[in-house]
Amino acid sequence: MKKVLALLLAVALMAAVLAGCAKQEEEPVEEPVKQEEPAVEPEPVVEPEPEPEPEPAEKTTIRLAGLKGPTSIGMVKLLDDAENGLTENAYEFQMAGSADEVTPLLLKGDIDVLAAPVNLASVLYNKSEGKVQLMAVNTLGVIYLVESGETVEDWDALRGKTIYATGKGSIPQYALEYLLASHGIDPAADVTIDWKSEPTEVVSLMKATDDSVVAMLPQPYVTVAQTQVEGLRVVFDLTKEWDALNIGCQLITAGLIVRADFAKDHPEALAKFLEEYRASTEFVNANVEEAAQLVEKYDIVKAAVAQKAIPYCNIVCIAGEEMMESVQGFLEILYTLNPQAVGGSLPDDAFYHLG
Amino acid sequence: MAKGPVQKALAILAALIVWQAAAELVGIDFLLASPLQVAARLATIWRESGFWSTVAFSMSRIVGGFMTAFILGIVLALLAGRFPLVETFLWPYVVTIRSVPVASFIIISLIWLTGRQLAVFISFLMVFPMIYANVLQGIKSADGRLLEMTALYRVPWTRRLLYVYAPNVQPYLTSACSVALGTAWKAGVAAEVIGVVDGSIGEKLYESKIYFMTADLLAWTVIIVLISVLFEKLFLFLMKKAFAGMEKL
Amino acid sequence: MTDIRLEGIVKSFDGRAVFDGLTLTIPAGETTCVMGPSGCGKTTLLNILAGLVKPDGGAVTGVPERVAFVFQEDRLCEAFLAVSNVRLVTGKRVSREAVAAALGELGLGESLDQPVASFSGGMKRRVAVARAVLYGAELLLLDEAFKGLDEERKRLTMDYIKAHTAGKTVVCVTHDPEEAAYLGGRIVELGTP
Repeated sequence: MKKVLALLLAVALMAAVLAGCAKQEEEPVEEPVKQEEPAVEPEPVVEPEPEPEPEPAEKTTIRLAGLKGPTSIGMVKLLDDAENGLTENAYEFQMAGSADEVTPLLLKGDIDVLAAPVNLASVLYNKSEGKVQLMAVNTLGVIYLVESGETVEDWDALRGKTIYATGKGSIPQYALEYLLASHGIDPAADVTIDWKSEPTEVVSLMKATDDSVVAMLPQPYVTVAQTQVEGLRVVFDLTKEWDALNIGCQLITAGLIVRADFAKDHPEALAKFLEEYRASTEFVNANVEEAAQLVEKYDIVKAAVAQKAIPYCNIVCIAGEEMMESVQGFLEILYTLNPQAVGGSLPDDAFYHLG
Repeated sequence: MAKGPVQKALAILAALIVWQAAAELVGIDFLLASPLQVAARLATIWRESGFWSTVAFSMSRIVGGFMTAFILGIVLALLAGRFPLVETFLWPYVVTIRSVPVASFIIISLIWLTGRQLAVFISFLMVFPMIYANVLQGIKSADGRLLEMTALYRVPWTRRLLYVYAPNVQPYLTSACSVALGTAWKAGVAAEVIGVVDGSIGEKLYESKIYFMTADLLAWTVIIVLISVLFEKLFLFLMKKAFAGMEKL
Repeated sequence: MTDIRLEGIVKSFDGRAVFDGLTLTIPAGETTCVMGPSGCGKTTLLNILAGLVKPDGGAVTGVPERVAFVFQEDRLCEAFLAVSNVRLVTGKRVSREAVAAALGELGLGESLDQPVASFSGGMKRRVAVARAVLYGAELLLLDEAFKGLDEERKRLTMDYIKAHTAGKTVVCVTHDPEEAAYLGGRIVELGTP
């Protein structure tokens, strides 16, 4: 009896604390300020009069958030430019260690755009009944099958082996299981998948033995592992393997989730953001060394690692119809593996912000 | 502490109201489920396939860890009581396990153990020092004069154990068990969550978190508490009967 | 059985001398009552005979292999039955029935199904006596064994002891000269140190 009372009190206390944390003081919502285009008139080429100062454009502030990892790499140039006042919108950014930290903020309206796994976007869309939308895909697959040995050359060689992996309950798990099944291997019966919770555990395991160890790791940990484990080789690029299946969608990891209300209220600012984000992505992919410095600056990962890892992180910016097609197909596959992974049901078209 | 059953019932009602209010305050119902939602979920969750196998999985491991620690704790305490060298030898291990935070153990063990072994090991680790220390204390605090009497009368160690040590150890062991059982469950499930162990209750907690199924999260929490309370009552009852039986020999 | 001899026993506790060269013979097969004022070392003497305390000097010879002791404090296992308490020391050598009969002789026949924790002081005392006697040792030590017993029960107990210790060496410490007289045997006076 006492215990039940204690449980209920504990839950009530927990609830009260959560409520206290979640319910922030209502901040006065910033009035959306229309950007004013400085009037540009062709000056008559006679007297070079000093041009009147163009009115400083009222910038819209977009509050961004990202998880610590490859899904935030695409935006580092954007953030750097924002700091130097070179972007058209103003950007605020916070980095979170896990989705739990930022999801409530997004839903409460304390942040506007979140870079996070696409299935999380679907879950939130379903659970919040449409309060969020997906506006772009920003990372394709980042997972790789590696081995500290030479025994695995093709998918069949995995039969009877143990694969150490991270990312249970999220896209890596589903991707691996789907790929295995597509090659005729039953993930439950024909292989043993030993799920670890941290990539560092897997690396430690590999270092601890001379035997060949097979693992699935995400970037940038593949790069880290390569520096620490001698003879580590990449067996499969799971993104490419997925493409090879030719099922009409790609292996997608993450995208940009936007608050539906924000998208409705600031369509131009958002479109501008997408442009600036795309440019940032292109910059990162083309200027890996410089980007790596920025990646370290924003505390995502060390520059040396980033430099090697960025090309393998499949950082992209896919929006519009292309995004919708690809994501729809991908979510369908996830749904067949576990409906809860997408929030219980497939999202309808309103989920996709097509700009 | 609390007074009559009526007042207790009112207190529980009040707590439920606080909870419901908090859920409404948070506003986003899938971040904090209300008591009604949780109750509704409880009604359906136990009928789903895989429910009993999940419960059985976690129970077998956590109870297994507890029983191993229980037996080993008693045996080693008896040895340590008899041979001071054993006590000295075991001391660093017991102190370490006692002082190091559970989370550290869980994380270190994750590297070396499979998910299936993790919950057993962590439960064991939490329970063992308690049982060992308490039984040892019970042994050491045995009445010296009774022991002198048994020495004079050349009572063999088996009877000495039963007549002098066992009754003295009983209250120490009982109090250790009531704490240890709860701890075994909490630590065991925590290990299952951190390791996301296949087919365990901890995995269900983890999944409810990542898929934002908070009614499930709280429903499973209630289930865990229920199981641990039931098991505790059962175990303490059996232990009491066992000691009573010993006294009849 | 040989006589027990204590020669030149010296014993101090915390600087206080209890015995300073005590020499004493306890004849085998007979009852010896030790008397003296409080603090003169009667219990210590019994402890030395029992081997529970070692003297600082002197020698003790002739103590038989097995010794039974009725302590000043009862020293029973409270949670157990009277019969169990006795069989704790006798083991299977003495059957439950024999134990029950002995306890009956001591007037405890009605209380055999309760743990001794529920017994009065006098009842506990008698259980301790039964335990000591049924142990069947050659030497029986009694330390104020009849304290707390009323006249009738005292007599009962002393009769029981006399009946069952024929041919055994009995050393009985007591304050009461009447007890000593009833038990019979020699009387030894220990003086104050």
